[in-house]
Amino acid sequence: MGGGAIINNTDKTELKEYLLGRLHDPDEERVETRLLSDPQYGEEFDIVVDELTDQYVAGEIQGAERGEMERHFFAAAARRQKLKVASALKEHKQHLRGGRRWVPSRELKIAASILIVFGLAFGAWWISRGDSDDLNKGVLALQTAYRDQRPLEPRISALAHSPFAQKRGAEVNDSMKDNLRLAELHLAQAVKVKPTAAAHHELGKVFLAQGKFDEAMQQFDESLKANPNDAQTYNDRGVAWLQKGDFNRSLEDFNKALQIDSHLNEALFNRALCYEKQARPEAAQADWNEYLKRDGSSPWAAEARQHLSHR
Amino acid sequence: MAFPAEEIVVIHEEESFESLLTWLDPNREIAGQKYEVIRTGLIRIFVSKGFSDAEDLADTVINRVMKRLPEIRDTYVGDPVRYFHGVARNIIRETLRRREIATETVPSFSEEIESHSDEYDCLVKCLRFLAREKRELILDYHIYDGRDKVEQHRHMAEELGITEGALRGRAHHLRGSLEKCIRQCLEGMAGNEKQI
Repeated sequence: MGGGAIINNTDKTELKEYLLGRLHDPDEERVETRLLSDPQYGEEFDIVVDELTDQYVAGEIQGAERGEMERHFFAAAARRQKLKVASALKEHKQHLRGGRRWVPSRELKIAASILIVFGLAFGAWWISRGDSDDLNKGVLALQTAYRDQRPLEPRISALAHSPFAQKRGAEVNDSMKDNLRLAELHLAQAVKVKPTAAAHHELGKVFLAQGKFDEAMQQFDESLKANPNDAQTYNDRGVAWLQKGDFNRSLEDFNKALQIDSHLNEALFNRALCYEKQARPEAAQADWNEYLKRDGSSPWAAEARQHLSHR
Repeated sequence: MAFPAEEIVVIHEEESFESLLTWLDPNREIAGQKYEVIRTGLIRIFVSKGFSDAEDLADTVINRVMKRLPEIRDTYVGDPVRYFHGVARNIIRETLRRREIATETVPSFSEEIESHSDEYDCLVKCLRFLAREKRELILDYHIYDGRDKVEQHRHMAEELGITEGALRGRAHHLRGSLEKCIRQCLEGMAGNEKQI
């Protein structure tokens, strides 16, 4: 029993047509006899079933075709069973994106089509900078991951406040892990296509949030090679050193960050934490007080006050 | 000593099955493989025709072929697969004539998901049984729809150093295991609800 003939695109299209009940008798017979003799073709058949199910659940199949599919493709219980997995995967996708899908009206769809025509010229330019798209998507996924809680106490640059989750490992919520993974995928692609200082820096931030401190530091080093005067990157590398327990190097990086940009509140906040770790309470207190002079009302300020009150 | 009636049937069935295998191929191992492909193929065909009892119907085809084999094996010319197909077609026609009209409809899907469904909870549980790289592969594979999906699959295949076809196969196998696990999980949930 051989592995069967090679499956080409025509076979795939024919399988799809068969599954949708659109083939005439002789073609149907050919598909069916092949299903009874070619295991590779059978496997391809199962894959096409999954793909059609996903397209149905994603709403990619509409109108009469959708109704046709419901009558024919989903007539057997085994196929309806497959919907459960596809819908669970869709739900996972939606949770991951943290957003709800918006269903546009017909008029809006027409308006969108017109805009698409005008957007073609813009699109040509946009394609040439596909890396920016990945960079933006990656940054967005990182921000989404940080929305409900943050896995590290020190401040990673340019991320909004969220409560510090003192839990570790498996207890950190799945949604955060998944969003960080999504951010990693996009940013790794951005670095691959165009390894700019910003792309390396953002990917390093994701590694930092994932607790992959060595990988984070590699990215920050690459970023600093291209842009040696970026205060935020020094701050973030300082966080990596702090998490690794090398407080001297961490302090060096926070100092460097503040030297380049004395207004960088993240670095001041982190330096106060670093002093605490070094058991230098006076230096820590001075930084917390300085921090509160600059920022008296944000949730970060509330954390700074807590540190002061725990002294 | 006479055999009880049930045992005679079993012996006859075993003999018929052996003859069926020999008819498929003189090499026992190859015959076994051919038998499996035929049975799985029959199930795929019956499911595609909308039958929920596809496995039973596949077995009916095989039993019917086994019964007729003594009459046809010396005269039938051609690939046995064609004979199985012919019997399957007859069974489809017969069953369609007396088939009940399906009343179950396809579950509807809202575009907005308000809260976790049982399916989703089961998916999350089942994902935990997968090794990290497999879990990431299946989730990354299904993360996008439409054009983005195509692009994502291309990136993934490139990263893994395999063809897109091989990636599709891997994702399909993982999805198969997930599907099985989710089915068991949902059955477990339904069982618990009954107990409560």
